[in-house]
Amino acid sequence: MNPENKPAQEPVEQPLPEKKAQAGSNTNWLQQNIGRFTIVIVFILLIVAGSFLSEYFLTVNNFLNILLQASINLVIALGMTYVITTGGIDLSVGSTLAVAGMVLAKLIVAGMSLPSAVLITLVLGALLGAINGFLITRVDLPPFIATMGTMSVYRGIALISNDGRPAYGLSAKTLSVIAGRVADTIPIPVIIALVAAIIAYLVLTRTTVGEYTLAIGGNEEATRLSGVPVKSYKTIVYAISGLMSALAGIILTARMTAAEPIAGSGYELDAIAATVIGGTSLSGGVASIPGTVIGALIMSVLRNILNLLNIQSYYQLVTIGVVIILAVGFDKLRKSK
Amino acid sequence: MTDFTKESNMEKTPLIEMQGITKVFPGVRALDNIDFELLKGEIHALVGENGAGKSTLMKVLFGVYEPDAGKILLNGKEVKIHGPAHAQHLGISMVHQEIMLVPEMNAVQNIALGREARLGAGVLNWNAIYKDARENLERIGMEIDLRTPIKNMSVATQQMIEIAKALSRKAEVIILDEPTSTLTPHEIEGLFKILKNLARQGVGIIIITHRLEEVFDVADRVTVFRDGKNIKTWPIQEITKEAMIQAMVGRKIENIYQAKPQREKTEMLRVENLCSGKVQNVSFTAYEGEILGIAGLVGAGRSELARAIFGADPIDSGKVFVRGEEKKLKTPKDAVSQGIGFLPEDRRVQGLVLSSSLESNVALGVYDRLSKYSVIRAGDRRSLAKKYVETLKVKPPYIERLVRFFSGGNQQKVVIAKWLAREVDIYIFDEPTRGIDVGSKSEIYQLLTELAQAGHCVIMISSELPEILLMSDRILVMREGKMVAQLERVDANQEIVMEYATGIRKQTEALSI
Repeated sequence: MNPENKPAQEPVEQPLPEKKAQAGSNTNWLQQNIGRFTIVIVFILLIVAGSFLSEYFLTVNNFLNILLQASINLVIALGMTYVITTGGIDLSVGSTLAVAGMVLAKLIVAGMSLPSAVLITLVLGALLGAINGFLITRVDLPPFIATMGTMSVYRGIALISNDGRPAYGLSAKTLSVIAGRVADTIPIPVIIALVAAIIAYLVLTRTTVGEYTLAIGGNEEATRLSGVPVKSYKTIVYAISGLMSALAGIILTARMTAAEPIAGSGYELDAIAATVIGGTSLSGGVASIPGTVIGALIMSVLRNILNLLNIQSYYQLVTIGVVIILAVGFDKLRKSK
Repeated sequence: MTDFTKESNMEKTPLIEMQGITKVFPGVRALDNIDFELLKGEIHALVGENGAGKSTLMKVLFGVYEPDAGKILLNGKEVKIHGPAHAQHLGISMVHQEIMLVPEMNAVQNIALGREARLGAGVLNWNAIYKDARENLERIGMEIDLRTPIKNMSVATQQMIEIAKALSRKAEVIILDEPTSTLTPHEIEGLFKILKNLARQGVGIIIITHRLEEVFDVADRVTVFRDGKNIKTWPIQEITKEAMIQAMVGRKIENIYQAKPQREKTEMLRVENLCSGKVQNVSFTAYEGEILGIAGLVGAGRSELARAIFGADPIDSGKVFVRGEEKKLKTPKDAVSQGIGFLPEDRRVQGLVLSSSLESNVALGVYDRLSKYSVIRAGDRRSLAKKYVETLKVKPPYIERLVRFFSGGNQQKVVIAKWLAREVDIYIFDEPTRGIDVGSKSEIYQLLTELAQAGHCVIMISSELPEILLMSDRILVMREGKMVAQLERVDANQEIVMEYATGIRKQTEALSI
């Protein structure tokens, strides 16, 4: 048993919340999905508000821009959704992103072909994630502590790798396969993020990895006693998170045609926010990939509107924080009624 | 057991009157026009199958649910109860099945929690807090170290502290939801003494229980529920256990124990000198086609033994043989791959993923057969779940419904279905009927019998002696981590097993078969 998972006491029949859902399968469906409706409404409201506030908002170019901005956060948040579903957390995603970017840049500069360099970077990301998994499942560290430690270690490695300097010397032409646009319109990062989201959805709903992720988050001990190798699957989940962070690092590096060792600082918070806004429960066992997608879009639309309105970035921080609290808080209030 | 002094002094005024209470959940009429009355100084037992409505009615009384119709009178005056906090303010307290205390805090802190006496400006008045705690613990005759964190105390003591906490809130009505399910016989006796004492002081006590014997030990009156209707209330002298069961299930339950054909002695599981935690040097053998009962008091190490065999807890020393071959079962996965299934004692904490659907729970252990390249075949999973829902008569038969919304008996069937689906042939059932209703109980007995008849090996741990004697072909008795007796069914009765379990009687001959 790992200490990070809330003591085996399930929120069984908490007398107050959920009382309406005690009977009837239809109610249960509504209960489970109402969170999604709430954030869809928030999303629509934001778009309506945006279109009133700026005439530039409702243009194709601006929408593509919003999607492009959302893509990196979404990719990380997909991995984060898996981690949070098991009842854990991964704070090291931003640092993993930076390591991945540095490694990719160095490999390409050293003359490696893009596909090989990308593949190696992705494997490395998965490995860094698996190290988190190892610390959590075998050394029994709480996920918060384990990934806070590796957050610092990985960031240090990214800085050491090039003496703290960015890695330049990448050709925009080579990287256009990743950072370019299809038919000069649709940004490839958006397509990558979309494909990643579809795969993440299918894995969560159709495979044993997804099923065990949900089961572990719901009741780790019961899952273990059913004969599921819980430690291995938790390690896989953290490896997925590392893999997704590395993918985000590759996209970011390709877009900047340079890798920065300080890239990705604070990205973990955006990813957690997108996940939680999307209705994935921090206590584990409940996940929604479509929710995470909308969560990432909400964050991106919000930033976009604030930028269009020329609001100073300090106020942006305040606004985004308030929206996170409102989106999740509103949902909680609804459920407890 | 009737206390005559109490009888004569008791004021027969109603403390609580619930009239025409109706509560409808979507699709279910959970409470249908229920009348219920609790007198001052009375101990009133509520019995009925799970889902019969007794817990729902108590949740209405405790303010968790708002009734759709009907009214509640407290001391003759109509009240609207807005929530548990309001209920407590009105003098109605509830002791839940799961202890609701802060484990790290001591008894005093727990009793005072939320309404601590203050000197002013948020500064606690510890003298007053201790005085109040001491008074209320004295009222129930408890002597405990006030400074020990309650997590170091037994469940029974924690329960008493819950009662003292209720008293400290000036409770006139105390509702106890299955208070005895985790207590030893001795502790139950202590609890009942306290309850009777409180009743004598005028407190009205409602006790929900599945153990019908207890009703006769403690209650003044009993109300039997069935299908959300108040069937009837009887003074305890006017009803027998058989009549009570019949009122609960609406039909007669046949005794399903039948003499079994002579078993073949094919060894399925053998344990030699097993040590793990408090389990010391346990050896036994279980055979094909038998039900092996393991009896003992709570805390005798039976669950620990089962968990060690199953690989859930580490083994310190000793050997486990499956079908004659020694196996190192380091994880539950190893045990499952050897064909061992384990139904843990607490289904909600250890047996089920409550946030998942019925079908996900049933399929949890069999995805190797339901998937290819780890892609799940959803159709196969659905038919698997449907098959076992049908075989085990899970109600309602909604496979997509979250497990947390099923009643206790049906939840237990889901755990059993998980192992049937896995097609194991050694079943270890730890308290398979704890906290479930009479109807489901007899269905589970039937199922265990069928499993054994089909040639599987069934090991059943139970704290209920009648159940052990009803079901087992052979009986093992554990006491303080050791195996103290192995008995053939014909040589055992309740007294003998209890004497071994409590250490009054000792088996001298070598304990191996």
